[in-house]
Amino acid sequence: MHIIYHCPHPSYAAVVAAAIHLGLLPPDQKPPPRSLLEIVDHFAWNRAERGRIYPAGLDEGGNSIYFLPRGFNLTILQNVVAGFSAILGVDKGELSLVDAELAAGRHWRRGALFVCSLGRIAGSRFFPLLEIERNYFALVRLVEEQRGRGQPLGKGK
Amino acid sequence: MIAAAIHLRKLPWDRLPTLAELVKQERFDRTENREIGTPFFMGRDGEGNEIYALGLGPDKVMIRRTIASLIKILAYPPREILLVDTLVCIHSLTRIGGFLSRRLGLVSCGRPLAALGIRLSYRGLLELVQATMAQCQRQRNDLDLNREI
Repeated sequence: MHIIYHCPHPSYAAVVAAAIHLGLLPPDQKPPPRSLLEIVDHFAWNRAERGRIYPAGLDEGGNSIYFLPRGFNLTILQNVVAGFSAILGVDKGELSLVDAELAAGRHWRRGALFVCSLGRIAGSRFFPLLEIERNYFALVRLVEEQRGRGQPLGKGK
Repeated sequence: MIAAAIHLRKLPWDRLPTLAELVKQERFDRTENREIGTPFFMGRDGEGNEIYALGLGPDKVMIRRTIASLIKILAYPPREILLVDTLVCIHSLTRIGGFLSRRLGLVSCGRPLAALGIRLSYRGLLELVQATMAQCQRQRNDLDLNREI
């Protein structure tokens, strides 16, 4: 199975979710900011191109884990992935597109992404880290839910 | 939609289509915002190729990367899919008409304007389709040659 975690590029949620899924970050305690930054740098998230799907590794069940930095429009991405998966003959349930952004909550999301975008322009990593700090366990729940059951193609969480 | 219709010979190759012919084409100026990014199956051509129409929205570079990545991670033969950008030969009247019709809901003036723009760029679209069909043929020949080797 292919599991793709995605979020807007200013946020770190997708790459952190992929790392939690792969056991690179603990599910039971918040890692220190230094560990989060090591993960972000390890997967070269800041240099990643929007729209490209990057392999993160294989989980213990043999599923391929990916992360995908995207823009703010989710609908087009979901339609493209669902449509092309069907054209390419992928069975339903074989590919899961997981929206890591939703773990943050709607109100927080809007403000945080704006601030993260500003931080990105200013070259600061403080705001994306703050977002992860606040929502770490929501990401853990998202990953555990994803591990527990396959999601319908293109619906995300 | 129009390039797909030309490819499938639902629109003429030897003359310009009338505005009425363009407007009555399947899905012409009828895609909703929530449908952008969905590949619409339009039919099969004479060579058996499946023809789709796909709108990529404002960030087409990003979406093209996603499609290329999907093809790669699913280990699909990349030469089996040809993405052809038709916007390169679209007249600006079509963009204005599409904006009026889809964004502002002014269908009665936007749709004919979009069709007029298509008519003005029809020769370019036809040449694009012909070049695409020639490329399909070349790729098919290459694949056949590789199989023989």
